[in-house]
Formats: sequence, structure tokens, C-alpha cells
Amino acid sequence: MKLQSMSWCKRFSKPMFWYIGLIVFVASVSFTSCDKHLLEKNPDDNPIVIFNHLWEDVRIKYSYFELKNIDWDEVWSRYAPRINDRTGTLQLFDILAEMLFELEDGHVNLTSFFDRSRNWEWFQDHPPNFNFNVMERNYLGKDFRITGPFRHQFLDSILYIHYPAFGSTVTENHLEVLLAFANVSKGVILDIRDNGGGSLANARRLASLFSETEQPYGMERIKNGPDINDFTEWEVIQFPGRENGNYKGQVVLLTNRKVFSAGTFFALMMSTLPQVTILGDQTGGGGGIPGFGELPNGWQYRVSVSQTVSLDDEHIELGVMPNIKMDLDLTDEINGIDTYIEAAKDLLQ
Amino acid sequence: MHYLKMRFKEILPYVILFSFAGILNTTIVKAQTGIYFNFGATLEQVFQRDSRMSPLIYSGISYGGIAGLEIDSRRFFEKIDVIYTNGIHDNGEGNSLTFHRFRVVTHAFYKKRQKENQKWYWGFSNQNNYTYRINRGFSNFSEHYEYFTSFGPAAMLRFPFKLGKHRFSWEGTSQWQVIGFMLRPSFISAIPPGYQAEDVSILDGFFRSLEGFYPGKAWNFGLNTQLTHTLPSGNKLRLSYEFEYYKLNTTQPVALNNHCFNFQVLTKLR
Repeated sequence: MKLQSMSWCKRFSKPMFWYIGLIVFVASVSFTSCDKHLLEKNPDDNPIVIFNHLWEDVRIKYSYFELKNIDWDEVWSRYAPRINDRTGTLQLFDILAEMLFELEDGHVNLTSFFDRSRNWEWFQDHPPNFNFNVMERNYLGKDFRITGPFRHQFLDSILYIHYPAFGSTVTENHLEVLLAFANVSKGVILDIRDNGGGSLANARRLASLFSETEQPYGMERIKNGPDINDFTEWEVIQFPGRENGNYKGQVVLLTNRKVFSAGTFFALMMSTLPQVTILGDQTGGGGGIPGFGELPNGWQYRVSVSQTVSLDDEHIELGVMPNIKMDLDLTDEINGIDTYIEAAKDLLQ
Repeated sequence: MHYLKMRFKEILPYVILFSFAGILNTTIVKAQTGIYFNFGATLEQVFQRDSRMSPLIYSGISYGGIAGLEIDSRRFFEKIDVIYTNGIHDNGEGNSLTFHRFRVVTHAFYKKRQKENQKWYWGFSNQNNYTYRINRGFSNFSEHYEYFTSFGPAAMLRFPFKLGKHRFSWEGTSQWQVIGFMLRPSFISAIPPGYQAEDVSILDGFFRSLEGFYPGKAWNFGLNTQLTHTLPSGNKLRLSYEFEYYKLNTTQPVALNNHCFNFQVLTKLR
């Protein structure tokens, strides 16, 4: 191609100038914040817009309206009149929190930089059925072992294991140690009371210690559209069997109302195993996986966006029932005795 | 669900195969007069809104690299660029996301037989885009993405000039994507919608997940301006700026605009 001389600018034709002008214009605009406007601007963060955004997002995403018999349109008609342009930030947060409270779901929260709304009635309205100090001082004692997230101790040749949070990572090495101790015991008491959940992966890994083969334990479906009944097909969910050996003896799983989310899933997994007895109170629930979203003012919310049922088609949103239902005896507790652990020992002796 | 995730990973090679369909189209060249391999660094400022996760615009700087081929033949001028960038972008309200973007972009311009000093070129462009973002404030369902392959017309104004003994070339390119297909995750989970039915084969699920890309349903256009300095050895140095915008009007729309700066070294292969 023939090269141009220094007078190259004279050789531009009119369309070329338009073309170059367009590029220069776009480049100029790009260096200002105006180009954000090519995207629609962020929605107003006035209280009415925020309220409607949250209400609508919950309407299209929440998975348990039918199960809980909640009329979300009726909820809007009660709360919308309480919001106007002059509603203050704290007042708005409280009204939105109150609206979400109606979902009666521990997986529903509104989070701002100054507060986090919640509904904790799933355990606060029920007896605690767990006294950590009694368990720690009179059962774990002073010479217990700590293997990763697990604390364990032999109680009359029965292996007692306490696992406080499914957020704490369970590894194959941990399971190997627990298995070695379990194999020389008369049975295992697995205490997950007050375990509020965490990672489902940890629940699956721990459950694999008690199963030789992959074990179906329920079915789940996820919202896949905005209508109340827009769900994926039910899909069987399973936890893996453990290839490196598993415990075949009797297991008593201790639960209370504060066992939630991944804890409830774990109880459901264990309920499918014939050698496992669940003893205590029903779990707190949390059968819907929480999905997250944001509001125009940056506040975050989460709501349940899936459903999980047992193999008998029972929803676990409200908890997994124990095989043996009992409450802690207050007299026992005063005397430093854990009614659950004693009952579990009796079962395994 | 875990099984479906595994299967989604399996279809990635097919996605990449589709992406490179455009490349095949442009690498079949005739009578090559110059082939350049280029590589360089990329810096871009991204503004994006994925309404699947937030009504807010996330913005920030991404860094990455670009590599490609340029083929200057008797009848065609063709470019293939592979661009990858990543960065952490925020919404100005305290939340952020990890951003990855992978593109394979091709341009093919036709030369007129009788015109030696041709400045205007017409041709077409093919864009293959995969944008992936992980919302760092979300514990579950934090993955969001879009993929599209599209074709459309392109124009280029090419103007070589000299400053003293130094040879330069200024090029302005524009492209508008007209037709193609796109893929988004399903309503909540990251699994593409075509895989939600049971017993769907990998390819079947992939095709079921695709939506048409056409004006009104989806937009993608870009403007590029670049200055190239030809060294005495025949190699080149290039500084370029590109503005690009896309919007996919799926059930949960996503839009992005991007200001991309590249510094490239072009090595003459032939």
C-alpha cells in the first residue's frame, strides 16, 4: 500500500471524518462516567422502589409459599401502605425485616451494614435440650481428643463424638481416626445438637463414614421460573459410600431444634441407615437451599429457592423427626446429667 | 445436581469447538502476502449489570492478555484475536464479584481488485464471548455467566502515513453483531436450562439451552481505533482502544460495556 506524506490529513474524505469523529466521540465519552448510561442507570434507592424490589424478588424466587400457605399478595397489601418516600433507613429495614419474618424461614435474611434480620423461632420457641457445659465438663472431661472439628471421648466403651458446626471441614484423615476409635467401641453416639449447619459437602462426607455404598436420602427441586410452581423436576439426592472403610456398628444421633440446614440434611441422610437411631427433638429445618440477591440500595437478602423431601415425600423444611423423641430432664441437668447421652448409652449397652 | 454439573464441564469442549468455528472461517486464506502473530497486554474498564444477581451496576478494571494472527492477503485482510481478562469489580455498595472474560474475535475484510490505495474495507466479524462472574457476597448460586457466538457486518478505515522516517498506520474498525446464538444459566442454578430434564444427552442439553441472538433480542457492537508503528524489521508495535457493548435480553437480562486498551507486539511470520 502506498504510504502517505505528512500532508496526510488533507487526504481525508468527508465520510472518513465522520467515522473518525464517531470513534473520537465514543473514546471521549468513555473517559467520563457518562458511559454508565449505556447501561440503564441504577434504580432509585427510594423506600418504595426498594420495598417493591424485595417483594417482587421474593415472589419469584421463594420456594415454600404453598407448603406454608402464605399469600404473598396479601402480605404486600398489608406492608406497602406503611412505606412512603419519607420512610427512614432504619424504619425501612425494620418493615422489610418484619415482612420477611412472615416466611417463618431460618434461611431468610435481610442484611445491611447495620443489621441482619432473621426469624429464629424455629429454635427459640422450643426447649434448648442441650447444655454445653454439662456435656463438656461431665462427659468430654479433661482428656478428650480433638480430631479436626470433632471432640471425642470414650464413655463406658462407647465412642461419644461432638460435632458443633458443619461449616468446619471434615477430611478423610479425620474420618480415618474416628473409624479407628469407633471400631474398638461398643457403639457411637454422634452429637450434633446446636449444629446450625454450614456446608452440605461436610455433611455428605461425614455420612459416608456410615455407609458402604452410595445412598439415596431424598429428592430436591429448584425454582426455575417466576411462577409459584415453576420448579425443576424432582431429582434424587445421594450421599457417597466410603471406599476406605466404614463403621457398621450401632449409632445414636443426638439432635435438637437448633440443628438446622446442613444439620437437618445430615439427620435426613442418617435416617436412611438401618443401624442409626435418631434421639432427641426434631431438627429445626432449613430444607430449602438459600439463594441470594441485592436491593437497589445495596442491601442483600437471601431466601430459600429449593425444596427437599425425604424418600417418603415428607418436606424437611420444618425439620426431621427423631426416632425417639425426648426432652432434657431439668433435674438431670441440675445434677450435671445429660438425659440424651444417658439414654443413648442405655440404647447402645 | 452434582451429576449435571459434571456433565456441564463435559460440554465445555463443544462450546470451545463452536467458538473456533469462526476462526476456521477466516483462516482459509488465499495468496497470503503477510502473516503476523501478535501478543500483548490488555487493560479494560468494565461496567456490567447481570439482573440475575443484582439490579446494580458492577464496575472495575480487568487485566489480561491478547494474542492472535493477522493475515494480509491479496483479496482479504483478516484478524483473529483471543483475549482473556479477569478482575474484581464492585457495585459501590460494598459487594464485589470475580470477573473472567474469554473472547475469540475474528474480522475478515474484503479488498477491491483494482484499488491500491483502498482506505475503506467492508467485511464481517464473528464474536465468541464467554463471561463468567462469581458474586463474592453470595454463599450459594454465586455463579453467573453468558456465552454467545454471533456474526455481523464490519467496516474498517485504514490509513497508513509517515512521520519522518517512521511508518505508521491508523485503523478504525466497527462491528455490529446481527445473528447467532447465546446461552445463559437457568433461573436460579448455574446449570443451563436444557439440562434440567432427566436423561438429556450432553449435546441435546446444549442445543436445548441455546437461544437465538438477533436484533432486539440481543445487541453487540464495538468500535476500535488503533495506531500501529511498523519497525524497520517489519515487525510492528500497536496501541489500540476498543469500546464494546452487549446486551442479552433473556429472562434475566445482562448488559456489559467495556473500554479495552491493548498494547501489542506483532511479529512478522511471513
